[in-house]
Amino acid sequence: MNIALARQPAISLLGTTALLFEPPGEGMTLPVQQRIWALAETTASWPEVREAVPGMNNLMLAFEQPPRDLAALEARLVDAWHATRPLPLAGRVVELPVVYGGAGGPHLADVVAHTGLSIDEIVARHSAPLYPVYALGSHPGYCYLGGMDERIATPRRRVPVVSIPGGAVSIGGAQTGVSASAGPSGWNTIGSTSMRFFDAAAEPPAALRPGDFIRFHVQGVVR
Amino acid sequence: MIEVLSSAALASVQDLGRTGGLRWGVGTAGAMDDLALAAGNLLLGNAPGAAAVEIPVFPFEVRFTADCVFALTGADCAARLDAAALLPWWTHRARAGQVLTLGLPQGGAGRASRAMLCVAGGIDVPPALGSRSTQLRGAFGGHEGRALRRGDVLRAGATADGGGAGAATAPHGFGLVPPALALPLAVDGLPAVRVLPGAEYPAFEEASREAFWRTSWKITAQSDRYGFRLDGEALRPIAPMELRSHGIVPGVIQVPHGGQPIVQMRDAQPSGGYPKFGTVIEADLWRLGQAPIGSRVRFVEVDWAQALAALDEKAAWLDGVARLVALHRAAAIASTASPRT
Amino acid sequence: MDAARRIAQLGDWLAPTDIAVLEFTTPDLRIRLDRDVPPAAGPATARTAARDGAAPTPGADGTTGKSDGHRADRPGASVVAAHSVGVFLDTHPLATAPLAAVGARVAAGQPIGLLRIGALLLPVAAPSDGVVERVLATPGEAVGHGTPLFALT
Repeated sequence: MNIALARQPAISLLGTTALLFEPPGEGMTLPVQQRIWALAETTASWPEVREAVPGMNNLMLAFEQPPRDLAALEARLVDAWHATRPLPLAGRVVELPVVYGGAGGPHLADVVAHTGLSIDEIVARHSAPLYPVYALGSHPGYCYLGGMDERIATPRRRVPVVSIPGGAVSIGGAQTGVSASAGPSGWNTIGSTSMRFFDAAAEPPAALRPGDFIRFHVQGVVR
Repeated sequence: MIEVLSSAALASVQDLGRTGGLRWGVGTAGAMDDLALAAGNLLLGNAPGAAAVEIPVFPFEVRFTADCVFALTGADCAARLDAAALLPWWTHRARAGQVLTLGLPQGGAGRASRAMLCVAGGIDVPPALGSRSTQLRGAFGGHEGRALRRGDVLRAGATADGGGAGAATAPHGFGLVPPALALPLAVDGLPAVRVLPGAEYPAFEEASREAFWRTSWKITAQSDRYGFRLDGEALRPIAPMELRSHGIVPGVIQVPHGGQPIVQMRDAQPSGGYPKFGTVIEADLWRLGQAPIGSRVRFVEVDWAQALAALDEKAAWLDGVARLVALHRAAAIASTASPRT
Repeated sequence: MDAARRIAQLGDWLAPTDIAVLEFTTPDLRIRLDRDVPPAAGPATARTAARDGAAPTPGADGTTGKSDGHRADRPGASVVAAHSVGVFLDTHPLATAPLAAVGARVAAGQPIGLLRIGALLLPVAAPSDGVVERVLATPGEAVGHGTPLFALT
């Protein structure tokens, strides 16, 4: 939530380690994300910035050293935002074969119960779109995706699961994603895929980057 | 040259953390008490960011399989080398075959909770993405990307002055006044850490904001390297908030729906979606990292200039340590190298 | 390293610190650098200058102490003297009990006291097996090279 009511971007501090830049507006749109990518490219080379990290329609600047003159950096950042043009969509399309339901999709029934749709309708709506990778975060190699069909949105679980495996395809609220390694999750896991999203020894270590696209291919449905 | 004898101890290899990986969803990891790590390394003539073993659960035992000079910093664990009691925040020499035992942290209510075992030359594990810290989620870095187990063997690297792995002839037998004593920070008798208000701070009720600064917070048992869950007065937002996922860093204090804050710690995931009440400043993360489960802490509000001053003070302390130790080590080396008439 | 280079190096180390006196000793060389630093106000002046003033002298690797001057209080007793300037401590800053109480039996090499120079702690080690008979200096006071610290029997 933006407390500032003006149509200016909001800049807030994450301690002395980073700052968070949020453009005005409440949505999570691809055109705004394309401008966030452009802003990340511009700011990544600033001497104060160790890393420019896109989030969902926002940008975190992790500092190399915390700047003594914070106001000057913030002003420069706002100016840079106003000057950005959306980066073109030029990424790769990656197809992920998914087995929906069964042991790898333990919460498919919960999505059925919440949406009132059948398994086949849910699988069809989930596998239809081309999902842009907005950002990486959460854990190594994890991709935040945009573009999920609202009709299959399902709230996060009241009690998170202690561990879901890498490759778990899940729905959390209005978003979908694939976990890249085992870990806890409050999302609803509807299927599994076997893609390797992260390899610390590879260059670059993450298989996907912002601007790429994912398409889920129905390999099978276990009822 | 160090063989782990304890099982299930949650000990891990850490350095000062992995930077540059946020773009791939890789957080920093690194020592919960970065000051203890850096100081322990400086005592041994290592670069301050050399890898060491972080030990959060006690008792903990290792056997030295080769002669080795090492330092113990962080919590005072009534350490023993075979039967001999060891001074804390000190450098020691072990002979091959000796067993180092760390007992329960001493010091009562003000005790620290994690010990750092540093060795001359640093712990030698292959770097992953530029760091030797253990990345638990994703299982890479450190020793095989996981906590240490009984039977694991860790090696020491070569030292800068060419003393060979572990440098068993390196100067030892001296130590430091711990930074908790040199840089004290307490409010009403409780350890305190400084916090910069976060983006959603104004969106919380005034009574909640006052309670955050005025009352103490207990570190619950559901606390670990990922985050510290705190118990205290529930923090209430003025209106419910749903945020977009955004980058976060260690120190960020999130407030999920129940109102009990979670302070993200060194293994925090690099993004989140909960409201951010504030961020524990980088300069004080070592203090919080040493707070034991069940202990209580206080929070102090600071502004940007004060947070930078805290970083400067911490850097000045380390700088002073580096100079004094370098002088002492150089003199000790020179006196042993010169022929006696 | 020759004396001229050593002096230059020590000067470089000293310059950005607030250390007022630096003594550097090896078996063939002794260098002392003094510097004017503004004195602290009041009676603590001498103590402050000495407390943070001097870098340690080497020769001890920490496990063998040196006894300079053997002003024994009675036959069989020996005096453990400071091998460096510093603030004398009988208790580790983290501990509540002294390292070696009066009457305690100590072993050769065992740390029975500490000398604090800024953040650095150097051990005062028992030169031989024995019993701590008396503490000769006041904990918390600055001492100089050779100041008697303990009488052991």
